[in-house]
Amino acid sequence: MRDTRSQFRPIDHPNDHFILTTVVGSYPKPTWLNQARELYHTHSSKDSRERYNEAKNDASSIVIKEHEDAGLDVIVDGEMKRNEMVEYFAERIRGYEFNGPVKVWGHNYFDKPSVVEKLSYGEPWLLEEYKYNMKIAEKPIKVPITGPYTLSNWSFNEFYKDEVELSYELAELVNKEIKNLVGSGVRYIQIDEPALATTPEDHKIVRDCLERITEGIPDNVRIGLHVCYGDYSRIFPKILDYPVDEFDVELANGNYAQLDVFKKVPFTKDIGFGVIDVHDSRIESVEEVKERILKGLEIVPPDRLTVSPDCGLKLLSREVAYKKMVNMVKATRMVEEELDRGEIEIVE
Amino acid sequence: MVQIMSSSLGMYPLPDWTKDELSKLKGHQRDGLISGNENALINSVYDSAREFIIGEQQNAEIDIIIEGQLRWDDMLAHPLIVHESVDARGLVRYYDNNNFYREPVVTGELTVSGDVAQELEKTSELIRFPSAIFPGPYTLSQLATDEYYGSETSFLEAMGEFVQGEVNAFPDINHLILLEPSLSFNPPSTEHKEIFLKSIEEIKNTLKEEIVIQTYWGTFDREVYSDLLELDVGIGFDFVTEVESNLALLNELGSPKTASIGVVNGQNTNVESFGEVKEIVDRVIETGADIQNVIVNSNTGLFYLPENKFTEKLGVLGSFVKNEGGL
Ligand SMILES: [Zn+2]
Repeated sequence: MRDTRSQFRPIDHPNDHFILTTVVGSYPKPTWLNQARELYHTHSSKDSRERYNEAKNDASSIVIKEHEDAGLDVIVDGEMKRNEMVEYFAERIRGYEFNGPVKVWGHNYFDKPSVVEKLSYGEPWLLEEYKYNMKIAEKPIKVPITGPYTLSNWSFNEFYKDEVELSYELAELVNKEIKNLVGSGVRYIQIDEPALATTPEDHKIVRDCLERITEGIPDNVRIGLHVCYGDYSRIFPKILDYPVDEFDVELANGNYAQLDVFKKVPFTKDIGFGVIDVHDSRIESVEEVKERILKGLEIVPPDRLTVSPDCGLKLLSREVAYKKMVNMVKATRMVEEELDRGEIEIVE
Repeated sequence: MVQIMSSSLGMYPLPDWTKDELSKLKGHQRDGLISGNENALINSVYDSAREFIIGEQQNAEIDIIIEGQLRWDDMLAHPLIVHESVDARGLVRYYDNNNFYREPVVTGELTVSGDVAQELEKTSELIRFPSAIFPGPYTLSQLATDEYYGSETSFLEAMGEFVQGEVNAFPDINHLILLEPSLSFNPPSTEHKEIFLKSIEEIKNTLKEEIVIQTYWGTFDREVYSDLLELDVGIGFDFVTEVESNLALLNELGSPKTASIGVVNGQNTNVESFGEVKEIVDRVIETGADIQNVIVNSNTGLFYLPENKFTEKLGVLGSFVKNEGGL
């Protein structure tokens, strides 16, 4: 298997063993960022737009700094410049139309866009975000992109024959976006597919999408796939032949009830192992996170383990999100030390 | 001659103008969910929303007017969620799609709550004889978790009695449509089918109004379908997700006197043309001499549409029948 991981090992990494620490993507937005956005939406003036842009840049800078302070090996900017994970992309892709919010349940609404004509790339999606972050960050950056199957699944399809055809079209556009990003220096891409593993057969569609997404992407670019909320038994072990380096899963929230799913056959990819519950504001102790990391080592050896929260941290308060990351990194470094001292048995 | 009428199913989108008012009155997230014990101020917002939505149906010249279920947090589980013997637990996904409900866990006897009856009473103050939409017993038993009745059969029986009790509390209505997507999604075992049919028969016997068993996201299995025909109840089909298999049932096993046919897609913003609706309606009528009433319908509730598309889709249903009514 190709090695896309060692490029993210910090030069001054303190231990022999290296377990990669990162986060999934979103992070709580500072209150003043939301205020700046509301002012812009109320006034839509040039002045309020500039202030909102400035606020977004400032927020990205701060979150990058917080991620670095927490000690993460690979950081993101908390998606400060994005609204929802589908809306953000649908606003940039040509062929989408917004008609207004739809009810998901209770008072939860989603501005579900409609595909009304053949889609085309439109304006660059994430280039500006990445270029800004690159100037600020000292650590390597991961770029999360909503995957084509989720984009398709969470859109009204008025144009394509079916969801599959729409997913493939979107996969081509994601491929184009990744090529642009890689051209600007991105080496770590995460495809977010929360819609995967929600129906029995969707793993085939996502595989075919990933073939399209990774077409012509250089070997040194690390591609991760993040899946949450799903029934992993529907997609494992089928996902092991997906053309990705890392498979990132949510497990802490379900108290590792699905862990055994991954023990059925050897896990031959890197695993992004969820050790932080993003729906619970209680801060896990270092000791607790350590126990969870050890569960990850039941699946893969340390050099294929990535430690991260279950999902984006945006639903938590900023203080809680930060403290959770700090404990996560501390716990990981302690596990590395114990591995160095030979105190933990490694499977395989 | 076949009589054609227009209607729609289940839950409607909440009018945009009420959302701000409600979120102010309710606060956010968990506290904003329906419990059945809302204060007068909150209920008055729902009352004016209901009045608005009935006006929307009248504007669209819909024949069979429904309440709209604007209070409901989800499209089926509501009557259980507001029940005092039910705990609402974690969020669950409906039928592998992007709608959710809180898992209703039954922890005590399912007595009559009268929650939906109250909604219909209020509707009756605005129009004569609204139609009632209610989840069917099989679907409710599939969505809910039992921590009281002890066996699947007694749970299903209890659901039958629960539905019967609730609908018997309704004021005078036009039709009763029982929503049964689980009949398609996860057909009952023979034993459960018998219990289900017995419940439906009992409900039918206690009602003077016509009853329609409506499924969606698939079609009936042949056995359930022929048993329903034998019970002489109205039958509702989803012609958005299934065309040929529904027509096969009608052709091969016969047709009900009243067929509700879901031809307008409640899950897509693409607005159906007159021709698209007509093609399906014509094909259904061609299958059976027994059909006396065709209810042209949406395949699911229309709540999952943005408001503008919801209004357009009501317009499609209403104007189709207006132009095609005297077939
Ligand atoms: Zn996630």
